[in-house]
Amino acid sequence: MLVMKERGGLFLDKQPTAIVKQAIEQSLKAANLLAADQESADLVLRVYLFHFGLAAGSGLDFFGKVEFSTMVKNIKTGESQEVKAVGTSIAKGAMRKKSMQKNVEEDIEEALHDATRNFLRGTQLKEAVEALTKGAGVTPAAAPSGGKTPSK
Amino acid sequence: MRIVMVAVVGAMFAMGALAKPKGETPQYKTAEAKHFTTAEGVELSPAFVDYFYAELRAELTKAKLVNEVIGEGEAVDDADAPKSLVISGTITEYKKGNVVKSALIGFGAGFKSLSMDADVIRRSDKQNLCVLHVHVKVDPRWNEKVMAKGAAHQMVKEMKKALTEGTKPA
Repeated sequence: MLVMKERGGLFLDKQPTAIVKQAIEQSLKAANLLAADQESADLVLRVYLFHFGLAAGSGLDFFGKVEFSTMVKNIKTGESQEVKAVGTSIAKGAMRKKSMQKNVEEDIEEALHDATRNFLRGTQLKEAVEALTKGAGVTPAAAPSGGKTPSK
Repeated sequence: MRIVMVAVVGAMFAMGALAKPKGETPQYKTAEAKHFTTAEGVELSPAFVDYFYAELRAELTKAKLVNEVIGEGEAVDDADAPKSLVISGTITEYKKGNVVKSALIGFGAGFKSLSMDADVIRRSDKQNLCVLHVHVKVDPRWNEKVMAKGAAHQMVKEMKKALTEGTKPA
């Protein structure tokens, strides 16, 4: 995916949806909350990615932004709730292509980290999980389904 | 002469070291910056609000006023809540400026201007710790995001000053 058109182009080696999916999976796995598959999961996360990469900044620096929305669904009851997350980062500007690549990479990584943290530590997710697992007597565990871009 | 120079340089280093002790722990544990709202009639893009939010968080991190700058809507431990801040505000006025006026008259005439009000509250009891009023002016030829950068810098500077003065013993 092309993230910077103005300076000859900077490409990411993976699709943004795959990167976001991997980041959420890693975080859930580290907290021992990731189910082995969708069938054994109590909750399923469907990620809709709205923005990934650089956004319009001041021109003096790089403004990284990752924004996504997640549908948290209880597959047994069929109920679902939406949880939004946004991550931003500002990195130093650069003139040389090498430093520019380094700064852009750091900027996007930081924005992704921020968005993942915003999602997992957010009160929205906590409330959604509490509401969806109410009375079910289950320990929250989720299986993220493939990230999808929103339909236009 | 050389000895005097060495003594002067040594004194400068000593003064610097005394002025700000190293490893000073920040007064607050967390700060949550919220997206600012825009008052009616303010013609700014939603991208501006997003950029200002990012700049404000970056400035708060740089200022070392708090241990951690958290994102909007993130949970905080109950034990940390009395030492946590929430910053919210409104962009009250935005003037586009006038390039012709700025070029012909100069001296700040025709500059873009932005005014905003912000409240800094304590998370635990919602007590208002300080109210900030920020007003920035930039050249009309400059990108509006540059204005956001200046406003965020000024806001954090004023916030730091207000919070430091507020905690000083009388």
